[in-house]
Amino acid sequence: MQQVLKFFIQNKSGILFLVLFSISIALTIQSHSYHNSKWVSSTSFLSSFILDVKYDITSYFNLKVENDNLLKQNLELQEKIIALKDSSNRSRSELPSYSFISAKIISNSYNKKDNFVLINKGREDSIYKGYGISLPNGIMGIVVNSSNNYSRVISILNTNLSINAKLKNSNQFGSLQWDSKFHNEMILKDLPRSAEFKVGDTIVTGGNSLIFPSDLPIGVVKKFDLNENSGYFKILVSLFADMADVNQAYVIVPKKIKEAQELLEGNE
Amino acid sequence: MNDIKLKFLFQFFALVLVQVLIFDHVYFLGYINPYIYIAFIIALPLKLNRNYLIFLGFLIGLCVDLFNDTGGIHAGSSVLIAYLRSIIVRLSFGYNYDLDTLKLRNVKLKAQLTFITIMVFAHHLIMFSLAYFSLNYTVEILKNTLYSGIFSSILIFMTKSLLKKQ
Repeated sequence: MQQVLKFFIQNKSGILFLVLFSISIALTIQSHSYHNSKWVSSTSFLSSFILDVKYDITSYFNLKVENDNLLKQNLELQEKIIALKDSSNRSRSELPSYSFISAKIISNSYNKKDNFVLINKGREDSIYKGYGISLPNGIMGIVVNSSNNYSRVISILNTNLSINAKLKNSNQFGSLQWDSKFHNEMILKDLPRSAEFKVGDTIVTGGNSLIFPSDLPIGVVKKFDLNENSGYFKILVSLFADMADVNQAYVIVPKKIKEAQELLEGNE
Repeated sequence: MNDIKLKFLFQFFALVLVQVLIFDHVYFLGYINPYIYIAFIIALPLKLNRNYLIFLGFLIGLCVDLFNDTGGIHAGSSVLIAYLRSIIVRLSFGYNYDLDTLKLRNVKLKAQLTFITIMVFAHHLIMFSLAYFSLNYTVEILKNTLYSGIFSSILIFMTKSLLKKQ
């Protein structure tokens, strides 16, 4: 016993190192499975406060660009309203099943292997885990945990996330993933060989998840090749949104998610 | 003694804030990110108790992780270089020095540079390995370590020589 104690006392720093190093490894492993709510995360009080202050200061620097973007977006919406008016005599059989809340992105990363984003809305704005985040011209990610005033979002630029996507005007879907290479390119996998498309075609979100409504634009086909063995296409998609320069995002609140989830669970 | 403690406390917070608010958003040539907060571990007095050093290394890494949402990659890599610091000191300065009286700025410039470079590269290698956490990305890990390592070493060395004069 004495020898054991002596050993511990002699190797104090080695043991301290091993303990702290294993804690770090455990935290790292935990961060690679994003489903767990994390101990060390940027939604914690102090770090989100400091990031928020930083956002308040730095957001003034790109007010001009931001204004231009909003003007452009206004214009697009105006056009859409006009188009809608034309088709308003078509009766609407159902109420919209999604609503949107605007949010500001206060911290964004895009050059790591697994990227996360912090937005300034949280549980008090009734934003919860599993809600999708869209951008004016694309999608941003999915909320993984939310504190009272902030939410942490797993970015689409994260190798752990894959998103249901399809070709516009077709119902054949695949899964969209990031290969951690460039922040403006993603890969659409598992699209069956029977799909017909060409370079430049638009990729939109598929309707097969409750998170994103279908037909949100994502990007265009840049390059593709067909795996002869599996019979699936692998498509390089170039994104519409510049993920390195985003400020404004929209949280997609699915109104019917509870009902649909109950149904899904009941079937199993 | 209290003044010295206060000085290191100030350095700790200043380096964490400078890292997360400025240098995490510096993308030199598009993707090279410098990590200068390890200057804290490099600059702590050489005679400091090894256990304190390891604990402080862990703490500063964890703070950076907290802001970056990276789990424990900075904590792990900085605790490792804090643990290895005494060995790296011996490697780069030789065995002729008495650690209790030695100060970093009294060492020859070449030895200082060696010390900083080894510390930075050891840190970056472990950090990028933990960040990618897969052998499939070996090339990316080595590439990032090399580029970021050179950038961080230069920055840390410059900061040290700038601060010394005042």
